[in-house]
Amino acid sequence: MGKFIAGKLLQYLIVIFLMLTLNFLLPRLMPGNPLVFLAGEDVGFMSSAEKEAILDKYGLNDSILEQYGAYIKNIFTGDFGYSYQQKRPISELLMERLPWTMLLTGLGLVLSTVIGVMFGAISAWRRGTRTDANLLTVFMFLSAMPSFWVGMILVSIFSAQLGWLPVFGAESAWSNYTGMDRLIDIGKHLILPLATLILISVTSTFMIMRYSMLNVLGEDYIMMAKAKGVKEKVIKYKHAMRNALLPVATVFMLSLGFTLGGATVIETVFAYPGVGRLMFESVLSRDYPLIQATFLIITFSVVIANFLADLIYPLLDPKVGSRNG
Amino acid sequence: MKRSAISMGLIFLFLLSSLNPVHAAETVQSLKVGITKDENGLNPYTYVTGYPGLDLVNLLYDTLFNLDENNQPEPWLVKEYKVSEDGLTYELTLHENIKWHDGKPLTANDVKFTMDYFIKYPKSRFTNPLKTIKSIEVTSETAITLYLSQADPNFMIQPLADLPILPEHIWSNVSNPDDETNALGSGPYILVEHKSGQYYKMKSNNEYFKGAPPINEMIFPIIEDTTAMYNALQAGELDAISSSISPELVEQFSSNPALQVVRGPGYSTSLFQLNAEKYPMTETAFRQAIDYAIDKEGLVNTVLLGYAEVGSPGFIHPSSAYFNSEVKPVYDKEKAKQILEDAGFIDKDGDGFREDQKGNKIDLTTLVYSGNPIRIRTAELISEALNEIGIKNAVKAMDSTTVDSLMWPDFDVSKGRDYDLGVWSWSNTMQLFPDRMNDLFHSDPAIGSVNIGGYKNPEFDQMGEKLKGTYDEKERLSLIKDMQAFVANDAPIITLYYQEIVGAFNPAKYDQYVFQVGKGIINKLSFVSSEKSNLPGNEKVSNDSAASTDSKTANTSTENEGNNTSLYVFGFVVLVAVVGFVLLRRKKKDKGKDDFGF
Repeated sequence: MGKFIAGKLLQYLIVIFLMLTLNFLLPRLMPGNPLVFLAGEDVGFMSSAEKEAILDKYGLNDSILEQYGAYIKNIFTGDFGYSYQQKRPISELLMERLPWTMLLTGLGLVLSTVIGVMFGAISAWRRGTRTDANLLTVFMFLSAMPSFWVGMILVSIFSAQLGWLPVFGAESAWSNYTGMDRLIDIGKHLILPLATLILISVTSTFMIMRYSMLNVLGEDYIMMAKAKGVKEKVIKYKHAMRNALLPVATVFMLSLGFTLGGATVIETVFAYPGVGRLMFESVLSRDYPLIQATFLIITFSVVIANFLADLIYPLLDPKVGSRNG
Repeated sequence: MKRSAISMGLIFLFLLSSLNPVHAAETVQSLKVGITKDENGLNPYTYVTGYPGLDLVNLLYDTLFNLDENNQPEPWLVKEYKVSEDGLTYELTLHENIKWHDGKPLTANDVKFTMDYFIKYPKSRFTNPLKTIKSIEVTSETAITLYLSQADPNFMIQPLADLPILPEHIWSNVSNPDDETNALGSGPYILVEHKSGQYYKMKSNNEYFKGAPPINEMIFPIIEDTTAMYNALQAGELDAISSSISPELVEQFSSNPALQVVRGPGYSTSLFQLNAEKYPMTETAFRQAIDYAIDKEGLVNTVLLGYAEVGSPGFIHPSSAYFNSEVKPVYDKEKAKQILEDAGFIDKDGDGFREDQKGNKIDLTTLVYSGNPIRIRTAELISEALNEIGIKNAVKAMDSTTVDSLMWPDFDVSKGRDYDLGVWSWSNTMQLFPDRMNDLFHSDPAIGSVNIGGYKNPEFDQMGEKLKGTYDEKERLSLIKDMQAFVANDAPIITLYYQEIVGAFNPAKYDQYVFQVGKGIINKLSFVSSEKSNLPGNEKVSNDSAASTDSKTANTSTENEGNNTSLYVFGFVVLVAVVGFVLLRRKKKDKGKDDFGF
């Protein structure tokens, strides 16, 4: 087991190094530069010298290697630097956005997994019946809908038309709610984006669960259990579902890595202050430090989630551990 | 020009209605105004956009003069002023008892400090106009005299009506203003809170020298997605929005009884930009043919549904005092073809497209921002028109930063350019003074700082040089008119249209908005209490004028009517289809149970 972990760790270190380098290069390979966001609206009326001075100030005239050196150094000192566009420390920006993103995408992931697993199991258990066909149709339909469209439909029905739920934001922060009132307010703001997120992401879990469950149901031990006269409920939950959950767990761990990246489209439609939107804005404005920081967070969390999955998998499925060790 | 006549009529209506005195409104507890972007720190060094960013800054700070609804400077912090005959000396007297938000008095020393500070720490918009000042003399607590090195016809607009005055006792300790977040000013509102990416909160400054402002608490939620913003306004979660309503939604907003819609001329200028440095766009005849091929009025009617004014080929907006009414937009496809034939652009190989004068094939690309549907449609229609007269070209939509980097590398026209054609737009500051003609077309990059087509014509340069040395108003007027005529004929750019600004607000919450021409309803005048004009009461005025454009408009506008309604209908149809599908499935299932499964 120790050797297994060490080998994995080395692999991950290489991945991390490559990732850091790509993360530095990609934004700089994009056409355009962040000047207009550094200089403000009247960039057109500035002299060349003034523009150069600004680039100098932000170290954008240094050689690529120098910039790379500074970037690596900053990462190891945990200093993400200043956002060009917002002129604030990036760590501060992220601390503001991360909780909201985790609330939205984390909850979305958990709920859509639970719902997907439940219906996937039902669907597989009743393979070929009306229920199965209906469930499949509905879930396929859901997965085919674009998220911004779902979001807009929900907003126009539940917010604009019926007026039940708020249209935008994560909370009515300016109202100075406290305690229970604040929680209710946050909850109200969360419903629509969360619903959208679940609607568009639930299908993948459903399909995986259904497929994996079908596989398990075809195994000999299920037939054996049936032959022994084990109760249907026990077969379904203890024998079949448990074993069918393995691939779902893998996908769950992988998606977990991406949750910190937020859900850009949904965050935009609902003006939700998450990391996804921050990342999107940073790309549009060529805000190099912010692009790097947001992408780093995502890549790191994906790598960590993968690592965790590697660690946890042997526990879930003893066969994996024994093969490697 | 029927359209422009109507717009002028509208402006006139605005002016007329401004004569009605309005009773002082009662104080509004809280007002929510949606904005589209985080503007960072709201001080003159760190705000992001000219609109509405600078307008929010101006709620916190004051300027010596302030532009009124027709963009004429009126005294603000200044009580009295005297300008010497030669235009070189400005004696300004400030109001007494003006206080900063922290209670300290605002004096002439703060004014001098601000001007010196902006020279020391440049911020182009504010610093450049200060460069004509030779010396500043503070004569008393409230009096200051400015001596200019040369007369400057725009001095009252910029810097005097543009430069926010900073408190000396705070900024004298600031040595890195670009990273400063302090926003303490003397303006009608005080910044309470800024949550990055979420909202700004301001409270009224009840000690304001022009009287306590009419709104106790202003909240500016940041909503990047304009559709979300429109929804929030419709749902009553916002009381007004900073962005203009897109043409296809105007009707829907007008029909909402809870909202009031106001229209007016906008100064943002959309144009078809030519790279005048690259053959064949170097050929005057080629450029003129492009001009003749584009139906500007058609663009206004089909793309903008009539909510725009047809572009004057001389660039300057028809509502400007410097507008040359003799230059008129042209549209004549046959003439365009004739010009090309005469200049030697002939289709020799019979592929339907013309070759250049040396017989080489022409294949041009039109760049456009991918984030802007109106501009993309404009580009497509133009591209079609050019193909029709035999100029082969295609539209390429890319993200704005990429397009900028091709058309205006590093925002520095001396660094060259790499494009053929592009749909471009200048913000409203380009229409603020006619001297911008020099910035746009002078061939010296130091003067023609936004000449992104690399246009070069010694004759124009000469006129430009002359304008710089001319201070007599009459002479300036005739020169600027000549420049427009010259540009109209030589076609370094093709001015397409000036999109109208359509604002919307909830009048039940607050209705004392002022429509500032070229800007809209989110401006300082809307949020201070003073005798002010009332907006035209019933916005049916605007509907009438839209209806009267012509039948083409009427057709398109019915098609586009009720964006949301069509969404519902579509959603409903899809739902019905799904339910139907599921039901059908059920029936089938009864026949054969086993033919289904993955």
